[in-house]
Amino acid sequence: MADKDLNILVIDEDPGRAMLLEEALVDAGYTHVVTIQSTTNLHQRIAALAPDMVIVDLQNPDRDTLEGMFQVTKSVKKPIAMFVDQSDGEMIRRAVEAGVSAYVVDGLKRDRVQAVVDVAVNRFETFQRLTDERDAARNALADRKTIDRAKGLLMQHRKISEDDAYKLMRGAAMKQSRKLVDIAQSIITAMELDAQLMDGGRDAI
Amino acid sequence: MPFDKYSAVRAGYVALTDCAPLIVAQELGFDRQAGIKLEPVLLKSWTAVRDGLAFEQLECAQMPGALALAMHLGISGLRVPVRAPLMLGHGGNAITVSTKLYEEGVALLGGEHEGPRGESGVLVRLVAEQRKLRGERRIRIGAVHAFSSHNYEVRAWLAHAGIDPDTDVELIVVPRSKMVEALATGEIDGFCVGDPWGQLAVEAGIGHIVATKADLYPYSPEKVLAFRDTWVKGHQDVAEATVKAIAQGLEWAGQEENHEELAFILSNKDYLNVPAPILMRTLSCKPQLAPGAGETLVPRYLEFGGDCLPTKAGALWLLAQMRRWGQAEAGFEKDLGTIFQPFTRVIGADPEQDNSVNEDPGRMAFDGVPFTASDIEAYRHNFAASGQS
Repeated sequence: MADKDLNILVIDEDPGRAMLLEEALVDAGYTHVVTIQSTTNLHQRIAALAPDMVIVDLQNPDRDTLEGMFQVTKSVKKPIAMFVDQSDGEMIRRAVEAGVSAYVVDGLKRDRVQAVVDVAVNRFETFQRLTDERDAARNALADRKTIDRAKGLLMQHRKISEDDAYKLMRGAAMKQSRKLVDIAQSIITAMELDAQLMDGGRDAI
Repeated sequence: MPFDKYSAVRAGYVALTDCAPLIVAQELGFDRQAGIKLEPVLLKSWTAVRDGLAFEQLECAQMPGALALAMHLGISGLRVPVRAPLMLGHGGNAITVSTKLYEEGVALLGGEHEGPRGESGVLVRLVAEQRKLRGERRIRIGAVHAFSSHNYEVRAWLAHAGIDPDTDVELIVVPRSKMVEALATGEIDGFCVGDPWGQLAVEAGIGHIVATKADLYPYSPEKVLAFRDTWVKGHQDVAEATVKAIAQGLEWAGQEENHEELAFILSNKDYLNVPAPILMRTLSCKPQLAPGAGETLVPRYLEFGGDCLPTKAGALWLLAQMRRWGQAEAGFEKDLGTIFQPFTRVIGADPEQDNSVNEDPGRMAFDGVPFTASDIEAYRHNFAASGQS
């Protein structure tokens, strides 16, 4: 129980990731977790919450503010420091790679810190993987749309079958060692220019 | 050797005009000429820059000299020995107060402040006294990082006007990207930050620039190019090539005929994302100090080129500021090592001369307290003696 009554403050501009982390901490038995996204009145909120640990994403622009606050120990009640102990090298490295930074009350036991940081690192890694997968899926969908469109244009202009249009593009991609989607994009651009010229743009040239 | 085989050097920077030497070194290919591939990495806080360097996500970075020193001494974040062989220019900071505070101050003073800009803190003092009488909240001033020249400059400027920066006003750290907005909403009443942010506040009609770094400590160190010392020792050639490329960027950025092109490059959304004409004011040392006013020539407002070799005296000057404002214990003088020592093989640096303590970073200081590099404690006590807390 003593390990789980830490006051933990999560500051994250990404609401999805913040929610994921808060849930994981609560699941792990930490009952005093507060999450904030907006950092308005950060100073007053931290003074009121008096957190034992602050977890904040590494790229958060408010980190300078946090550190500035912790410098002035009298206004925050307790001195807080980021991991400054060289012996925590491995924990720090993993955290940095995952994009997690943490501030802890001076004197907090290492294993208690480690347990919370581990949860945060795992959740940040999970979130990153999900984001990457989502982006990859989005890109794949966009690619397919581009390829389909180029295929349609070829079929229309060259009066060829869908299969032949696809073979034509794939052949060009292999010959030029370029991606199929790049070839498709080139075809679309060329056809669009063509259409503009047909539309009377010719007079302007 | 093909370019893609060149050593990649990740260089952290933040969106401030003095990231220019680093950006142009990459944009104009000075990096390729030196045999490296510079990869600028934009970061949103100085803390992220410091940690990126400490935890080996970056090889080098633009950094406030004070933060590089604090990292080196283990006062800020992980203690990591630093080597900063080049400064990235001079000046560039401005103290801006809200138009509201400015007008209140002028009314209380009975007219525009006409003395040297270094003494304009009187406006803040008069308004602070009024607010205290009326029981209103203290004047709140933003700076960008506790370990930065901006913090020391605004503190010294306040103290010079008889204001205790820790009790009479509230100094808080605000991310530079939120500074102008915070001034507009009244969350803060003023700030000290590097350009273009001061210029943007004046342009928006919400702020008056009342003092600049050039008015306060024109020869004190500003940003440096910082490396991890252990990385330098293991990659001396690459580190030297990096300094060579960025020093070339510094020289190019310092030439007036290049300023329009520089403003154009920096105005890109990937860099500062600020209109080029506004950047030109800073680059030409002709900032706009008040809304609607014309440009004012402020010599040394922001300078690239010139003497950009760091000195041990410069490190001592920064350490003295840390001592003055209670950020460091006494006795760190012996731990400076080679932090501010140039590379002898690059740009013809003479270690004997350039790293001497003879150069005085405190010359022409507005506060009238002579800097004594050989005895920073004496320097510190002189402020108390002259009533500048």
